[in-house]
Amino acid sequence: MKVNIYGLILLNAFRVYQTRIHEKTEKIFPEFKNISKYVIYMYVLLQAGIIILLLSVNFKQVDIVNNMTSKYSLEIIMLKVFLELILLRNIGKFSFPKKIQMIYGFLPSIFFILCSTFKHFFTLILIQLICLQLLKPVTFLILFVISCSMIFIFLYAKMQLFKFTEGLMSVILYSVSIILFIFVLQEILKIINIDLELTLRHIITFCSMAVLTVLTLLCLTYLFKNVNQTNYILKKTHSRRYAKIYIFAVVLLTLILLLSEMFELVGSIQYPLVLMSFLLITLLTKMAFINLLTLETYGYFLFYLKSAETPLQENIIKNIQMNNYLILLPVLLIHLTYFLIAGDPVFTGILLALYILDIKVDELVVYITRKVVKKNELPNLFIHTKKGLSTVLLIAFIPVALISFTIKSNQPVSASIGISIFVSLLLLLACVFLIARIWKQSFFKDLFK
Amino acid sequence: MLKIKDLSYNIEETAILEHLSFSIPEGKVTAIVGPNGVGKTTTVQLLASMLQSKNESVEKLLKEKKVIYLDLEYLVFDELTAEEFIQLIADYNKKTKQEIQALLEYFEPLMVKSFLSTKLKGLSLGQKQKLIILTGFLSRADVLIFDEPFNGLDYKSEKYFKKILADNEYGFTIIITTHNFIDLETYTAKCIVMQNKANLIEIPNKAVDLYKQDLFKYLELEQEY
Repeated sequence: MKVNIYGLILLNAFRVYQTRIHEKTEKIFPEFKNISKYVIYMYVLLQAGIIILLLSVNFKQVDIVNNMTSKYSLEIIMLKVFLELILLRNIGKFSFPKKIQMIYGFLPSIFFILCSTFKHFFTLILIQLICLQLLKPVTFLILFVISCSMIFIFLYAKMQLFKFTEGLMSVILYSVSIILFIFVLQEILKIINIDLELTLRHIITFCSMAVLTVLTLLCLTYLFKNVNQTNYILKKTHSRRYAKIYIFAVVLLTLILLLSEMFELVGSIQYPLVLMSFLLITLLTKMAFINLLTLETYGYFLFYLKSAETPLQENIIKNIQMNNYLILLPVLLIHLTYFLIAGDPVFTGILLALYILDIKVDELVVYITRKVVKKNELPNLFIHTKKGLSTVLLIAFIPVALISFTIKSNQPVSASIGISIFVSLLLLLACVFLIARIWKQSFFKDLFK
Repeated sequence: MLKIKDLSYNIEETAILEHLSFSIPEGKVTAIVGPNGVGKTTTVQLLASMLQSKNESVEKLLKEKKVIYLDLEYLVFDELTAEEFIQLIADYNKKTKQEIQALLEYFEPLMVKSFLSTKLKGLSLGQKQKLIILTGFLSRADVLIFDEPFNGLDYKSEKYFKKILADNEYGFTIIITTHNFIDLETYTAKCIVMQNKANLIEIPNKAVDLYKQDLFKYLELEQEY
C-alpha cells in the first residue's frame, strides 16, 4: 500500500506527541513510564469521543439553548471569530523553516503546521462543530468557508514571509474583541438596568486601580535597585510577565466590584472573594517567579552554600525573604485599595495578616522539607507544589470558610466573626514565626544529609 | 544562462549586497566562493526567494524556473525514519518506486542505505547532509542551491558527491557555496568569487590550470602547484 505524504506527516506528528508524553511521564511519574505509550491512544479515543458526542447531540432541542442562540446569534458569531483569531495567532507562533513549501509543497506544509499545533487545530474543529449545532446551516456554511479561508490566507501569508501578517492579525483581534466587549456590556446594561453614574464610578475605580498598579510596579523597581541586600533584578522580560498577572488582578477586582453591585449574593461575599483573589494572584505570582522566591531552586548550588560562612548563608536567606515580601507587595497593595475604598478595617487587618502568614508558612514548609537530592526532582512540579502549599491551604481555610458561612447563614460576615478570624490569624502567625525561626537555624547545617 | 542583474540587499540601513551582476550556466554546477561575511549565503537565499527582493532579474528567474534552497533546517520530520522521509519527498515529487530505487543505487557510495531505518532526530550531521542532497535530487526543481554541502561529509562521501556533481546526470542547474577548493575545477563549470559586497569576479572553467590559478589569485590564496 502506498502511504501518501499526508499519512507520513500525520505519522510524524503522532510519534512526536507520543515521545513528548513519554518524556513528560518519565520526568514527573517515572513509575508510569512503561504505560505512557498507551496514553496517546486514550487521548485520541477521548478526542474522537468528544467529536462523536458533539455530532450526535442535538442542542437545538434544548429550549434554553434554542432561545439563547436565536437571541444572541450575532454575539455567538463574534465570539467564534474572536476565538478563531486567538487560536490562529497561537498557531502562527509555531516556528518553521522559511519557505518550507519550497521543499514540501503548500498544502502538505499547511498540514504539517496544523498537525504540529494540534491542540489549537483540534479546538478550531470543536468550535466549528459547536457552531454547526448552534447556528442555522446556511449561516454556519458561510462562516465555515470564511474560517477556512482565514486559516489558509494567514498561513499562506506567514509562509510567504509577508511582514504585515502578525501586526494585521493583532489589529483584527483587538478590533473584534472591542466590538465583542461592547456587545456584552450593552447586554449587561440592558439586563440589570444599571445607571450611568454607578458605571462611571466603577470605571474610575478600575482606572485608579490600574494607575496604582503601574505606580507599585515602578516603586518596586526602585526598591529593588536601592536595596543592596536583594539579589533580584527586575528585567524587561520579568516586567511583562509581572504586568500580565497584575492586569489580571485588576480585572478580577473590578469584576468583583461590579458583580457585588449587581447581585446581592455576590455583595454579601465580596470581602472573602477579595481575599480569595489576593491568594489566587499570590499563587500565580509565586508560580511565575518561583526561581526568585525559594531557596530550593538554587539546586546543586546549595551544596556549595552548605560549606559557606554563616553570615553569607544568613544573607542569602534574607535575600530570599526580601524577594518574597517585595514581589508580593504590589499584589497586597492592589487588594488593600479595595478594602480601603470600602473602609473595612477588619478585613484590611486580615489581608495584612494573610500576606505575612502566607510567606512565613512557605518558609516554614521549605525549611522543614529541605531534602532535595535527586537531579530529576529539581526541575519538576514538586517545588511549585511545595511553594504554593501555604496559599492553597489559606484559600481553603479562610475565604472558602467565610463564603460557606455567609451562604449558609444568608447574612454578610459580621464584625465579630471578622475580628475573631483576624485574632486567630495573628496567633497562627506568631506560632509559625517561632517554628520557622527554629527550623531556619539548622537549615544549611542539615541540608542534604 | 541565468542572468542576475543589479542585485542589492539591505538590512535596515546596512547594505549587505550592492549592485551585483552575474550569470549562471544552465544545467551545470556553479560555485560561489569568498571570505566569511561577504554575502554568499545572502546571495543564494535571494535567488531562492528566502529573502525578499524586488530585483527584476530574480523575479524573472523565480517565474521561469523552480528554484529550491537545500538546508538541514528543512529536515523537520524528526520522528520519521530516513526511508519514510525519502518516501514523503518522493510522493510529493511524484516519483515512482523504480526512480527512487535507481537514485538510491546511484547514491549507494554515500552509504545512504546504512541509515534508512534511523529516525531523522538520530542522524549525524553528515547523514543529514546526505539526506538533504538526496532530497534535492528527488525534487522536480530546475535549480538546486546547496549552502556549504560538504560540511559534515567524510572524505569518501565528499569525493563521491563531487563525482555526482561532475557527472550531473540529472541535468540540474546547481549552485553551491563553499570554502572547499579541493578538486573544484573537476566539477564546476564556473566560479563566482565574491570579493566584497559590491564586487565579484566570474571565472569560467575553460582551461583547468588557468581556472584554478585565477581562482586562487582572486581569493588571494597561496597554492602549491
